[in-house]
Amino acid sequence: VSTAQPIVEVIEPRPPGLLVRLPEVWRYRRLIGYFGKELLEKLYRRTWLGPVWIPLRPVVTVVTSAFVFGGLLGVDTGPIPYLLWFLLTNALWDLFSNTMLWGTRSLEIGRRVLRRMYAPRLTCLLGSLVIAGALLGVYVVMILIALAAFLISDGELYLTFGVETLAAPAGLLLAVLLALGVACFTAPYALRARDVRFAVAYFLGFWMFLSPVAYPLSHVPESYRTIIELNPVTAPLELFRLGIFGQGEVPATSLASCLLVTALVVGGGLLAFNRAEEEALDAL
Amino acid sequence: MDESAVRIEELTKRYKIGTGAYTRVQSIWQRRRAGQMQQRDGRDDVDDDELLEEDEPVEEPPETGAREVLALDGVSLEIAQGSRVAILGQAASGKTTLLKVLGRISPPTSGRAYVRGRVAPLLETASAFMNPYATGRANALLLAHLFGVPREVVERHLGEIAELADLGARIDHPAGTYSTRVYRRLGLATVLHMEPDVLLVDEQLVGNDPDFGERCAARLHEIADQGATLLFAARDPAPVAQYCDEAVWLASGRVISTGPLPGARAPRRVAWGARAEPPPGIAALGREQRTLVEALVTAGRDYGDLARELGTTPDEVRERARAACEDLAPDGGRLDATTRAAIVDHLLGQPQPDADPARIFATPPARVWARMLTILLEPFGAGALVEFPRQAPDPALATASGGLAPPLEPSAAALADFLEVSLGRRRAREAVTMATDKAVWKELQQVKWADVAEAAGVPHEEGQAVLERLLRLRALARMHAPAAHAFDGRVSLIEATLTDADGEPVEALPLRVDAVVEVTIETAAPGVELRLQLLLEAAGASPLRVSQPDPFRAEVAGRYRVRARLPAGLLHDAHYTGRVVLRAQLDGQEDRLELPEAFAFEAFDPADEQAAELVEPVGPVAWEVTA
Repeated sequence: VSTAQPIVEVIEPRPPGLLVRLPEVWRYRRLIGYFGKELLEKLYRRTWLGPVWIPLRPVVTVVTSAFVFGGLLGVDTGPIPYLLWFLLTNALWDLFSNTMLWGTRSLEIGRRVLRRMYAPRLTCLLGSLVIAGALLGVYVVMILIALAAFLISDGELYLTFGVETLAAPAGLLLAVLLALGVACFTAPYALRARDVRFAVAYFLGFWMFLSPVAYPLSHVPESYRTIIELNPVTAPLELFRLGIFGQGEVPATSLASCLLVTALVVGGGLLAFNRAEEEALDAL
Repeated sequence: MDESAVRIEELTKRYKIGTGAYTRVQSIWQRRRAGQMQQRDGRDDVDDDELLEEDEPVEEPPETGAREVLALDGVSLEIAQGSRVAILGQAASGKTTLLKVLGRISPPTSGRAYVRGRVAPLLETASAFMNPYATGRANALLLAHLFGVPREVVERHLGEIAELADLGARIDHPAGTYSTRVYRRLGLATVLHMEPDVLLVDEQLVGNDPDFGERCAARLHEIADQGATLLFAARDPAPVAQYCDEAVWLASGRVISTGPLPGARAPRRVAWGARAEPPPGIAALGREQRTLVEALVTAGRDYGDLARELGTTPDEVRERARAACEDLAPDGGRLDATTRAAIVDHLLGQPQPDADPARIFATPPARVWARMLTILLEPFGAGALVEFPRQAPDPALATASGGLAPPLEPSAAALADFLEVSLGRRRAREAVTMATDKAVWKELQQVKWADVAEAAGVPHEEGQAVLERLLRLRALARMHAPAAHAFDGRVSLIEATLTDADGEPVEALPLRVDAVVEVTIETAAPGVELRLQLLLEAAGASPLRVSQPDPFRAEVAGRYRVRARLPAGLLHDAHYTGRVVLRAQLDGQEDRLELPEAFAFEAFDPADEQAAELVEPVGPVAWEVTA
């Protein structure tokens, strides 16, 4: 028994509303790591290679895509080597897609705990950031290795530092917020039917080709450019590239579309998620 | 909150069933699935992919119309630090919900609770957090982290945790390699070593694993001795009597009574002074008398010990203790001095070698005085030492008491004794008969209690206190009264529970495991022919009717357990309610008894490989009767 004067804890009903969720999530923050680890283990459970799959997945994706787009199709990325260019772009895309995909699956994977005790479901959703962050970490290591290799071979660092560097974290933040917003809508339904996660996975595959991930925005034919510019992921991708390489175009339409869609999706998603949570609360 | 460990103010907990758009969507899906399951002819043929994905597609039961269940209804309690309290009640009385709210596992719907210090909930929740791929050691540390307990607290108890969970060196093996039982034990053992200030225990978890329960007992006593507050949820007082000395009785989510725990054996180890204030009876005692009784009862000292310390003889201590007790309850004057002395010695746990409890407590006045003394000595923990020999029921009272007979529960016997002494035998019979009618009892309570006090020869206030105490006993008696009777109470259908194959009661049952319905029947007459039928009903699924193929003859009077083993594959994923029907035949007469909502449970697709490992083909229902 602790010797210090024990703290008196007050147990009260769960207050309704959206704003009170944030301090509540902070109080239950231990669970974010717990749920995140559960999700991360999903990447390699029942495999022979085990945790090796965590770095192996991005490596395989980057190598095959760089070979197809940079090698076979010869996509031109200007002065930046395609491998480096794609590594960077795909790092952000994977952060976005993994946050959305694992956010969608988060409640389904965390249900064993959620059905046995009360925990803000947002902690479970935010667990997807752990898996997305871990994979981003793998990309950072790969980028650093690639930078060192190109520094040795080309004698050039390719990185730029300045005011535009701030665009990189802005791009990351927008991508994460947008992904979490979508996951807020999909996660409660994915808990009940696997169709939702299958649909999200296929939709993300299609969305990737509609986003300037494997090709620069300048390569998009004029007739399709508006579609790509209105894609809300375009601005984060371009901002990220601009921040790191000092190269990239962020059209005003892209930025406006991204900000508007993100605001709507995050706001609406949180409301929908909260409503679903309140419905599921105390449901037998 | 002063020095209370737990204070609960108007706590209410409401569960919802079948509401909301999300549930409706899921419900449509589930009805479709229920149809598919029926087409499968009850066979369990979930594809491998589902098992691999640990899929559990349905989280909630099907829509049965929006409704709510009130699990806790305005519960208010104050529990002193260091108390050991049993939360007693039948199934669905709200005891586990109360612990879940206090353990922050489930938030209340309204009201508020204050808990002082670190709370450790010894509930099923712990094993839900465990990771089957991590080692037992890592899981113990994970639980500590999730419950906000410093890592070093659990680290320094790892050896004891491994021993308690029966793991030994296997604590460094992945938890998924443990048996289901050991897996669960690890979670519970870890919680038991979190050095809590308040420990919340679900007795079913410990009591249904006898070997583990025995090993837990020592640890639970150790925790209580360190001054922690213990809250123990249980259906019956008997299993928790060794841990608790006070009780809160719940029924339908409400507190119906609080008081000392009948049959508690462990003497209170904390002085009554730790309580908020001593009751008037104790306060009236002289300081010397109070110290004496406290030393004898609270500290468990014997006359000889105390005599040596006080520089006197054991006989002198005995006399002073008797005098103190007689001062407490002066109305014992109608008993002879020898009986009074024998009663006091018995209550203080120091009977003379030749004392025969059956003789001492042979008469109602002796039993009544002893009980009154027990009540007045409660703050010292004397109640913990009192064990009355079971009395043969008075046939006349037994017949009159209807629902309370036969055999009389100890608490009902107390009621009958008290009434007989205070009202006389004839009126006692009437009163006990009337007691089965709530409205009449209420009238009796309001109008006649002063007469009762006068007849018993006790002061006005004490009479009222004793009567209140008896009302609590009556509530207990009702709680223990058989649920359904036939042939004037000679056959009773007491309860039915759904358990898993290990005999542990379950509220949620994975589809791919065997289940057992255990029905308790009591007969007061030999030669009764009994035949059981179970009806498992679920919305969106066909009802399942299981009849016992052959009746069994209860050759001797007593308690019988009938177990029906339901093989895996019989049920669908739905919320089931179990109804039990008993047909009893005696001397050519037949009667039908029924427990309409004997138990309820959730059948679900298994969430983890633990359950999936237990896949067995569907087979016939197996019946078994044990006396």
